[in-house]
Amino acid sequence: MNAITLTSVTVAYGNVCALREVSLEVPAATALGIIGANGAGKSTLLKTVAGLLKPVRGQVEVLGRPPARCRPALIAYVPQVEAVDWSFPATVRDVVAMGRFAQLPFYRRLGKRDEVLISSAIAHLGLESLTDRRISALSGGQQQRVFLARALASEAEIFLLDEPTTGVDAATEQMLRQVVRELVEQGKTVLMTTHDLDSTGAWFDRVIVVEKAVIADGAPEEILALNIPLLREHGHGHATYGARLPFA
Amino acid sequence: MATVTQRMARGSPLLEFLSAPLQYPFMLRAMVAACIIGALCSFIGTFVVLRRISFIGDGIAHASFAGIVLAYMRGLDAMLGAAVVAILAALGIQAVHRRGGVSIDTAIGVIFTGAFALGVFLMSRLHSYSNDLEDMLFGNILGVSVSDLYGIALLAALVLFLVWCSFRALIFLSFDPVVAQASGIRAGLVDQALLVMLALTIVVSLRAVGIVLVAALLVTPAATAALVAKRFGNMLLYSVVIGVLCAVGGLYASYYLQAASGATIVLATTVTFGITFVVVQIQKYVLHRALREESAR
Repeated sequence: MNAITLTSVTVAYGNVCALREVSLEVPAATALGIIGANGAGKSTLLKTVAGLLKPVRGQVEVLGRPPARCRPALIAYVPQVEAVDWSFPATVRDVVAMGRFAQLPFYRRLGKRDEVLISSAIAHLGLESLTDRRISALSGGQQQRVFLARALASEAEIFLLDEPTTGVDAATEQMLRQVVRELVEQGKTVLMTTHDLDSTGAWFDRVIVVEKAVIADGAPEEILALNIPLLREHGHGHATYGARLPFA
Repeated sequence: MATVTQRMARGSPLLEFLSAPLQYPFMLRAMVAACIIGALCSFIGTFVVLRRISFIGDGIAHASFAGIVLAYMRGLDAMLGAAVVAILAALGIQAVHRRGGVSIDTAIGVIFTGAFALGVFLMSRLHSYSNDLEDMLFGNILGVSVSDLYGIALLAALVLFLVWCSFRALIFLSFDPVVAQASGIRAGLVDQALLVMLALTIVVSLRAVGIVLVAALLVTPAATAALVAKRFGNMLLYSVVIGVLCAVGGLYASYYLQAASGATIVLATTVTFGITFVVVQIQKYVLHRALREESAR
């Protein structure tokens, strides 16, 4: 069974078509890179798989079910750090703990197992020394690691990462890459949008190029060899998740 | 009761100051109501501030006026009428926003002003004018009866139960609604629950502070707590403490200054916010100057 199956999926915002007739099959234990210009529909694709956007046509299946009918926390969505207000009164640990919330009945407190998962996710991303720090006092790279730690703590099967390497330091980038490869080794499926075409070989097993539809699909080296003129001079599509950096 | 408090107070000016108003049964009832309402509003207010829906509280309060007038015309309980219309208006606004793609502030502006206007329209057609209706606009906590107190306590308990059921989902949705939804938390349902809780809280508080001022009791204690709290739990605690102290303190102040109780309570929260804001700013300034001097050295 494929981890993710999209069958001629069309997504629209109002009457603006963001994705047209996208069909995609992603087997489990795959790291899939999604590249494309700003406004090409990369984030839309992730949100559609996450069940946050409903396609106007076509079908989405995650491990054989529509996203809305998946078990809680099966899908971990890792948004861009600009997506939330970091002045929220919470510590690093508080945010990582949120990864456990969806699968915990409301009448039960965080158990020993939850605590272990939270602590090990924090340790995995090298955040131990920041555990009790307020999140408003974190750097961009640290914020991104907190988001990924929260996803790890949720024990999801499907990880959707929206441009996690934008604006982070080299050490964080390397750490993220290592985590992605580990997840794939554990049989998890990772979909990640990126604008860094050159280093896709180190991250992904497979890369797709999105421009309202999937216009190329293959191994990273094949996609690189295609030399697609991806750089749109003035890509000003939808501000889907606040990705304002020019595609480069 | 009165003689007991008087006997206790004898000899200490502070105790006398505190116990003198309580010799009146209506002040005692008002004090109990102020404590419950102060705690409840500032508790729910924490979520309202973090979800950035402060404006909704004001809107729900105004909309409920239509329910109060309708209940009055039919000879029904004002609180019941207010509750029904407040809940309908709160859910209506969410439906218009989510399904109709109308922005939330616009939906509030349309629905709540409409409902308030309906209340005013109906009231203007009443031939007999009622003090009850004016009390609802500006609040009269001194007029709280024992049965009102039971109603307030019951609704407060219901709201606390609903918050307990949705506590973690509310926090997650306040911080990161997109991820919360992706992980399977039912945002629509939790939002509806929050709006119902908010509507009930507002209705409970109308007697005390009135339609015009209830939003302040929701927002100001929580906003004050947000200035100083590092974690969500602390913010919730500080907010409730500030809410109760301001409600009780405001009531004492209104007794000794012979001023309107609702307005005095709200002013107490505003002054608390102002002082906290200034202190935090001074603290920041001192800290930054120390850092600058250290780096200059």
